[in-house]
Amino acid sequence: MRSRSLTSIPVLLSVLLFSVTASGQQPNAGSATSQFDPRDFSGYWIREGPRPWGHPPLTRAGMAAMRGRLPDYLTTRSSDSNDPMYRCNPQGFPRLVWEENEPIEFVHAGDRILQLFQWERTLRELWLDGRELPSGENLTNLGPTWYGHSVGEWQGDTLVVMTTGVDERAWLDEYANPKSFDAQFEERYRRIDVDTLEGQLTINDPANYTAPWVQPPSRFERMRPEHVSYFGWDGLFSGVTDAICAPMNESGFNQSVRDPGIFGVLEQ
Amino acid sequence: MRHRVIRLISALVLCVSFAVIASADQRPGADVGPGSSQFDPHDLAGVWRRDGGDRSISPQAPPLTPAGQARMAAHIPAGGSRNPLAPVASSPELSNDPVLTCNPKGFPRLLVDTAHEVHEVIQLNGRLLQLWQEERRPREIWTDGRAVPSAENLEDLGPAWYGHSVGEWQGDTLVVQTVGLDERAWVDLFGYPKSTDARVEERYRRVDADTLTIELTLYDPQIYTTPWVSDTKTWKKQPRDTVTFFGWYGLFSGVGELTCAPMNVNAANVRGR
Repeated sequence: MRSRSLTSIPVLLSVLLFSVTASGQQPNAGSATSQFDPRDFSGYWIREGPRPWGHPPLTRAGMAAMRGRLPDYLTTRSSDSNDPMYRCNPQGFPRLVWEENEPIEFVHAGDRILQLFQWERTLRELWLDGRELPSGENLTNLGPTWYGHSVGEWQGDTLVVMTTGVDERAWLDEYANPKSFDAQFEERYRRIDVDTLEGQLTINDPANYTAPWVQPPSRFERMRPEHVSYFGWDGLFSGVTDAICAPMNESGFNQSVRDPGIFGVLEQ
Repeated sequence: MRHRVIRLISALVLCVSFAVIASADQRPGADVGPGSSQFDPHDLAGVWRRDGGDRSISPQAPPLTPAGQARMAAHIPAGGSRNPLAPVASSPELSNDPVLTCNPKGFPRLLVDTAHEVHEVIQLNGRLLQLWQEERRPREIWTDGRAVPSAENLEDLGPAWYGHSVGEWQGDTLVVQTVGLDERAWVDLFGYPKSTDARVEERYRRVDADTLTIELTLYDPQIYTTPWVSDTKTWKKQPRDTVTFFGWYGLFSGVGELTCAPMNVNAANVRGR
């Protein structure tokens, strides 16, 4: 009797001590080994790969929405483009995530995952608190926002995020493709190894496209520590990496860089 | 002997159990919520709305140096004047306040200006995030023990609209130092200037469950003859329903969209500001 009670006590203590240490743990930020938590996206990532191209046929409304838009690739001088981002209007969603190849930090914050963007120094909230995607009168009353309203859930080890309510004045991409307020965007993120997220975007926008636009997968590669550290300062945001589009900067940039043109044609 | 050992082990088990329960409840943000009298003074997590304090660092700025006077004389504010060197513009389109054309407010203006009042604090290991509804802007206050950038490192880093911020707890006060600010952003809506060599010290104190106070000091000897010490800015913790619209909780929604877009500014100008 005495030996049985004494041997069970170390086991109990071991369990309790393990619980103490485990309760203070934050999501694993990744390790140098091949082990990883597939539901931990913490860290700095950069999307690799080309920008999406080729979409389903446009509806009449989609074609009308594109009328008057002059994307960069149709101009000889970038300053002739009326891409709103060249005047420091927000790129919006999905462009900032799925077109750009700029640093993003994923931050697990309990009831949501944050995406912090170096470009524009802005953020998205991917809510995991069980709320529903806004719809109907609620969505109408909420109104548009440049980055939309996003709700996520885990399906196995895939994070599925739905977004709606985007501001349609921001172009879908650099090719001036349209998007509507009622469009629904589905993102699927899956961590496939220590250093790689696989992502895929599907756009459901029957107002502008005759079919869902299933874009090819993208990979988000984990950034090396030295690529988020400058002169002893770690992180996305610093003077060196300050990527807020400020109109006072853009006018000078337009004069010295965009006006001479992206093809090296100098203004006479 | 046997009973003494068992009592000792039982006491140890109780202590460990208490530690398990306590550690789980002290994660950042696990506060008891607005209206409660209980609070952790080191827990600043939550949504805060401005409830007091001047719209600048304080109502009275220190005297300006000659360099400061020259900088101020070039500013034409739209929102009011507190210095004869920078009288308010007779009409808004004559103001050269950079925020009117969607340039960033920068720091400390984003914090002191009460034009828009709400931010959320998220506490993580190694840093504290302030998410500002205005501009949809994240600010990072690093508490990972790093040094404030200085000398050659600071020079090489260059200025950032929101600077480089490092915080440490001194008792129950979070003390934050920020350097490396872009001097093109005004200190406030009245046109007071700052230099890239400015340093801002903030002192955060959670004085009760629902109240956060912030005091700032601007050290900028290039521009001001003495440090500029603020009044106390007060922030009140917001219950969930005050930042919930049409079923959507959070600072960032169509209703709360405060990202400055030049196309909106231009449209306002066309309509006749």
